[in-house]
Amino acid sequence: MTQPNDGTVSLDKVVKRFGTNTVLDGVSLDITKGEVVAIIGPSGSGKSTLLRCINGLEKIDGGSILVNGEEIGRRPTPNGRHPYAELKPQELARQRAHIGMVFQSFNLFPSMTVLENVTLAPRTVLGLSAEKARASALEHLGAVAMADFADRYPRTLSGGQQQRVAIARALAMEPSVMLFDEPTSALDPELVGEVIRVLKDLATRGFTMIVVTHEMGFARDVCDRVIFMEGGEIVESGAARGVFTSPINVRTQQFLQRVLER
Amino acid sequence: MPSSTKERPVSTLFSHGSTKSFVPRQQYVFYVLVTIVAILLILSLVTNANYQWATVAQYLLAPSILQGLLVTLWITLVCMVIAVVLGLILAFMGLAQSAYVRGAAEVYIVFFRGTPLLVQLIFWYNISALYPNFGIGIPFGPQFLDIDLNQVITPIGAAIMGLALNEAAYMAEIFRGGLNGLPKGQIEAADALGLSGWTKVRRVVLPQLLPVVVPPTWNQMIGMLKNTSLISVIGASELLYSAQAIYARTYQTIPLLIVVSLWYLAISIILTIVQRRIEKAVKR
Ligand SMILES: Nc1ncnc2c1ncn2[C@@H]1O[C@H](COP(=O)(O)OP(=O)(O)O)[C@@H](O)[C@H]1O
Ligand SMILES: [Mg+2]
Repeated sequence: MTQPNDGTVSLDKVVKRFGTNTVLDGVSLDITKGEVVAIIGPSGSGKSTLLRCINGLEKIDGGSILVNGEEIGRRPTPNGRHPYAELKPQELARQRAHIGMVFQSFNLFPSMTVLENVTLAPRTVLGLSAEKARASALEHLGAVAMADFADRYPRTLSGGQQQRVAIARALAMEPSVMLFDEPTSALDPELVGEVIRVLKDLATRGFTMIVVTHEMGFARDVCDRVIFMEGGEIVESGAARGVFTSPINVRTQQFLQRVLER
Repeated sequence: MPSSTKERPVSTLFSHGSTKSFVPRQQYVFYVLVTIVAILLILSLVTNANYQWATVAQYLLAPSILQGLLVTLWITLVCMVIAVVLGLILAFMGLAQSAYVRGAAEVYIVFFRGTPLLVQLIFWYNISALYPNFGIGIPFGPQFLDIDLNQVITPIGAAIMGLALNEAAYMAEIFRGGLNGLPKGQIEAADALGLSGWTKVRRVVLPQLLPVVVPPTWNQMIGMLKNTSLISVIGASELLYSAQAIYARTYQTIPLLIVVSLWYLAISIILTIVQRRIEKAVKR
């Protein structure tokens, strides 16, 4: 067994179906501590579903997912006939608490201030005191240059500012792995840069990051590895520069041609 | 026809497509007419002796009327509480995985919304004709519980059952709409942060749900207040029934109906004022 919170992610032949639609078709993937991975691919290829499976928002239909060496969503039992038991909702919640997730549409809680958004989970899930949660929240808000907005409500912030708060909210749980689902896709073009800067900064701080993105520049320049997905499968995976300059698979070539032309 | 009524202010909607809104002269004619009608009404209220205002004043605070008012108020409250709880259960049943559970909720709602409340009330009052005894046990075997329904179904019992069961169907629809409208992203964000159970409900779900369901629920309560008058037909001694008991004796029908109306009006106005306050509060 690996150490807890060591920041590894390991997928083995993961299968996910919605009804008869197989959305993930045997996805295997190993990510080491501190690695920054970009996932690219056409819409509907299963990128979001992959992230949602990794933090247990979706139940998988086959294979296994290990984060920090701990299996997500189920645990082994001594019983030979039923080797696995599904985790209870509270146990699943505890697993998710250590996996940060940032959504395309920010999803800040509108009835709470920025500070309350960031302190809610540390206080209620990790059991931090109000003081400690506040100090830690201000620190994380500072890291995304949002500390001055602590008392504002989300609706008074720009999209870029909201997304930075959402990142601080995830960081405040001290996650070992950070998942980003198209974090800049809902932003006006002029606001993309400020969020990308925050992502770059996190990448240098040693977080394990999986970023679904259409920002090819970010994928190429910042990420250690780029994974191209299509039809629920990993079609190509390799060092960022390699995938962009000399993609091996013809489907990757076609996809890159389409998006880089724009 | 106006090409687009959407963008035009309401005040111009009545001007039949002419670009001018109300001409001041037409407006004055309208005001004068309304004022004349109002004056005539007030004059008739004062001069028509058949209103018997003295009798109205005499009975407005009469003990039996106040007693009836009290019954009306507590039945309204009790029925709303039952309807909210039952409505929540039905709404969650409507979200269930199992088609049987969803179907059961659907049948309930169709049945109770699809038949008149008055018919339902009379039906419950006469349920003992259908089932003289209510028992729990094995068919043709031993009975564990045996209740004589003639004893249980009092006018008040049937009234509460009828009003609450009917209202639950409407409350279920309100809750169903609210739950369906919950932004999925908010729940996901809460899940992703590891929030669970009561924390998730209290901090994330309720702040989204309450602004949507509280105003219509309060509206239903005002409706319920007035619907309680229907239970007079099965002899439940609420406000209207108490008034009827008096005018059956004294034949002072109109003044007593005025007494009753004034009380319903007063409570409705109070509830409406509270509703405005609540709407402001939940809007944030
Ligand atoms: N909750 C769901 N129910 C049914 N089908 C879904 C659901 N979520 C995603 N899908 C389907 O799974 C496929 C992959 O979706 P998604 O993971 O969102 O792709 P991507 O993020 O790459 O655009 C799509 O065909 C989508 O319609
Ligand atoms: Mg997606």
